[in-house]
Amino acid sequence: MVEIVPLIILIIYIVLLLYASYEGFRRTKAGRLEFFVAAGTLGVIASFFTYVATWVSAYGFIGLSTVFYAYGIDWHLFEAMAYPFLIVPLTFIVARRVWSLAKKYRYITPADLIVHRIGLDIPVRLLLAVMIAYPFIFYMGIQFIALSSIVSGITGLPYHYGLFLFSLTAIIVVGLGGIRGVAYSDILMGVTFLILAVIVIIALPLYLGFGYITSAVEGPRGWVFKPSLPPQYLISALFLVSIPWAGLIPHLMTKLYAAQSDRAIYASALGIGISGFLLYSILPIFVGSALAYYWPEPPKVTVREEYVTMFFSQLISPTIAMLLMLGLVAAAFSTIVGIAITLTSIVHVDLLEKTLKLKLSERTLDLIARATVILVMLIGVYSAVSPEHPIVRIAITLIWPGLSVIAFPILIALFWRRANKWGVFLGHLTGFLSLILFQYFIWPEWPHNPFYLWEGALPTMIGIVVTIIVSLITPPEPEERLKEFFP
Amino acid sequence: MVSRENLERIVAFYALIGAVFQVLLIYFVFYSPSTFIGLPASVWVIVITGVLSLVNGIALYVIFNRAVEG
Repeated sequence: MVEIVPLIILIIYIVLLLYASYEGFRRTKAGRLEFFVAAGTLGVIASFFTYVATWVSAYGFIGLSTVFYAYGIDWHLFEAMAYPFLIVPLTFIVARRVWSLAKKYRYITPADLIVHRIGLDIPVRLLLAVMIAYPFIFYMGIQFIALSSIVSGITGLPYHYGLFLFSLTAIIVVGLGGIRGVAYSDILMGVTFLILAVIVIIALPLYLGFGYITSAVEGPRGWVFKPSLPPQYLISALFLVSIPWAGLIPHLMTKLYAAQSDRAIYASALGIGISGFLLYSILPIFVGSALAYYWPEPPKVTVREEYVTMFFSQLISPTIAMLLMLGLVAAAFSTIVGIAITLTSIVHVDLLEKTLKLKLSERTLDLIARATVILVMLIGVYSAVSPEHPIVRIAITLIWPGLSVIAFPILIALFWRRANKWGVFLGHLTGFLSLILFQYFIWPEWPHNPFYLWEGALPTMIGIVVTIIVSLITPPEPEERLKEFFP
Repeated sequence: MVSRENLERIVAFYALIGAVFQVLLIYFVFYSPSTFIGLPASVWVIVITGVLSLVNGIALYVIFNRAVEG
């Protein structure tokens, strides 16, 4: 049976999101700098919400709770451990450095920064476009999985109907809005998400009794609280997954470019600390334990993420569950649109303008870029049609490795004067090629290496080593260029 | 008041020490079969991790906003 009231609530909320995007679109002034990075004018509050909303996605709440319940607590620690000492403190340093360079030299795409630093133009733009598109396809795909599980888990509509509804909405939003539109709707998203988090923490003990976590530990599904992953897997991930998230993830770099002042960057870092506490540490324990207590044997579902949405629908009521989940819809959408804008800027600036040097009007270039990104997004939708794994496992295996092999050579170039064009370019190339080779050809079975390290550990380390060694054996960059980066 | 460069060096060192602390926490506590107040060590490690994320976020926000010169 289809629950009509929650479905109507969802549709009203989607209309509100579309309206917020439209308002942003209406207020966007002409010019690609304004369109993609709001000309670096987003204030502290807008930056805070847009950075946090893009960061959060549905991954923390639905994804981590699901993987905790389905695979065990170590998959939850994999994410939670990244925050306190690596992501949060280093955001104050790395993200600020990215922002200060973007502010001074008016970057639009992630490649702008690295091209400016190493002076190699077209090969870098082409390589980065491919390297960024690869993880982003799956990144958009997992958001669609989470969104569609909300529709199927709460309203009872089939999962694929939800996938269709959200794909259509995403196409409209991507077609409409630039970054200012996203920032406006992100304020709405951020507020609903915080309300969700607080209500869930209060509601679960009230409905299930205060001792439900202890009962879950002692119950038949108590095994989920016992770690089973080897420590080297977690330790390698601790360093190699976390550090890039301090400001070197492509769609977050664009958000940093859009900030007006370093206060906005510091506020964003604070937001990540709050999210790390609430959404990536505490909430998944509450919700994952509640699932283990409520369903010692998992119910039948189309995708595993429905565990969470179905649980709230049954525990509270479909209508209230949908009201709670609106924050998740918001967060997932913000991530999809943030990624789409970054990809649009890459196609528009890096590929059409700087590589192919097309002499078309800005409007035509923009239309081609948006159409391309909608196609890329549809590949992401396709990856969400029948996923084999929960979204957290997809991210850890396919997305995070792709992002780490991009980030580390950039990190080295930002803080080490001796890094040069050959080191960084070959560091990116070897990291990415080894990632594809290891995952699909040499070690196709999990964890894609014989040492039980995290899936992306070997390719990322290869990229780091190549960047350093090649930089050392080839001549340094000219002093005039280095002065712009290391005054 | 300190210069931003010096503060960034101190924070980077703090991050390194903290990461080493986390490695020890994972090796010696996360895999431990002990319980405390009915909850396993693995849950406590995540709770501690979460609280530290919040505390570090707030503390560094205050420090960077108030203690940096200029």
